[in-house]
Amino acid sequence: MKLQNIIMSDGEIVELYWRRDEQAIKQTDIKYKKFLLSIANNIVCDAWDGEECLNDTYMGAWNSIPEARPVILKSFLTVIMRRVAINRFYVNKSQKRIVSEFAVSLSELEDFIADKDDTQSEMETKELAKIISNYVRSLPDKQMYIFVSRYYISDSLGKISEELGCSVSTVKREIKKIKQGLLKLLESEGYKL
Amino acid sequence: MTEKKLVSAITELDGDILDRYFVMKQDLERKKKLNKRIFIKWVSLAACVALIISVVIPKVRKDGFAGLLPSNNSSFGNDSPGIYQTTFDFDTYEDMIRAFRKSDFLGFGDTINGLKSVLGEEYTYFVDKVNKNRAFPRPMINNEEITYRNREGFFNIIFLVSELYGLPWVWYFPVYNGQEFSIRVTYLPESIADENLTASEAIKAIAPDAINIDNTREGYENVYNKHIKLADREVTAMICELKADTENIIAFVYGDVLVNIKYDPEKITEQWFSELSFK
Repeated sequence: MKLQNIIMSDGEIVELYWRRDEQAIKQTDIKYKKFLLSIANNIVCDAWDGEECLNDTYMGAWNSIPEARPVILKSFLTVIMRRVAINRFYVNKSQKRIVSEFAVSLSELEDFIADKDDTQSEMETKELAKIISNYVRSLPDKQMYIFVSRYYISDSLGKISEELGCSVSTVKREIKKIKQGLLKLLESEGYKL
Repeated sequence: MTEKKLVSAITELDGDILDRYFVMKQDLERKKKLNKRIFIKWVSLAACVALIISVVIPKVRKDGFAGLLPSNNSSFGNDSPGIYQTTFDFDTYEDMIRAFRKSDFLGFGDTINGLKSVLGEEYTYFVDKVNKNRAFPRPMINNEEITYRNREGFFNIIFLVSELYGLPWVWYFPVYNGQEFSIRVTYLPESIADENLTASEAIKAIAPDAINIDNTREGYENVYNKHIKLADREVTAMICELKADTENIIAFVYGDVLVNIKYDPEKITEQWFSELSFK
């Protein structure tokens, strides 16, 4: 039986990682390449860089499993890809302006960003991550979906509206509500914005 | 906070949120596919209703159900069963005769007799004649029934309720000299059955626009009369030689039936015809 012609379940693929079977990468590629490349493209907006991010993601997955045994492999890979792609984004940004969907979505969050380059401590980042996670977790499904699509996956507003079956202006309205809620929460937690 | 801090914090979003997101994404995709399928079904249904309203009902109002049948101007030499999909399929000649005799006492119209109410005069005449004779002309070679193809998944005899010239036909599928072919037989309409016409004359009378020796068409190399010796008589057959085909079509009148055969003249030779008769 040729493995490459069959789409395996996440559990089966993770099992291949644990057995250090290189088919794990091949199966991951068959199942998730298109999706992962779309995230990379959203962030770095470059085909070559996207492919490199993809390879780095597979390397990251290979190095993390085992210890990790993700249940939903897609989520696990998305986290790795986002980290890899954002690193690449900032490297490229120092050399040239990048017009990616990620950059556009960042511009929507300028209310949260100060020009002052204060010291970024890991503790503060983890704390901030917790606050944002708790906030997003509390959102209704639709708003949660929009937040993750726009600010994590960096999908375009058009794609999000198509997936949700609503208009772009509805998505924009929801984003406005999400941002207002987050702004209020962060201010109440003492963050200077 | 700086941009990088915000970006890092979002990247550190808890895993359960991503899991929830991907589950929702899958649901949305499934719903989209289902809605698309439902939409297609409704569009197809609407199209059928529109067709019935705009085409079928006016035609039935004007011409009755017979109006749904094709005219008698079908082109000659068509090797396919034609517009009407209703066929009755048999392995043996006896099965066919039994099917002709089967009554439609339930009134479902799904038997050969049951279709008489919807398929018009020629069909009714044909079926009634088979039942009156309790037989239909079948091809014989040297006075023995032809060898049928007996190919798995295929029938040996087909009755088509309406085919060439808008008439019912029986197709026999013999095999000879390694070649499978079909011998197609229909009753001449009552109006011309006794007039001793040649095949070309009979076809002209049944379907004036169809191919005959005075009316050929693009795709036909030559259409001509030829005397052919059969086992028990000589007939004036109409031969059609086709431009893009190595096979010919032959038509001849045999008593009260019209016979039509598409054949490879290198395999089905004059010798074979000289052994052919109908019982």
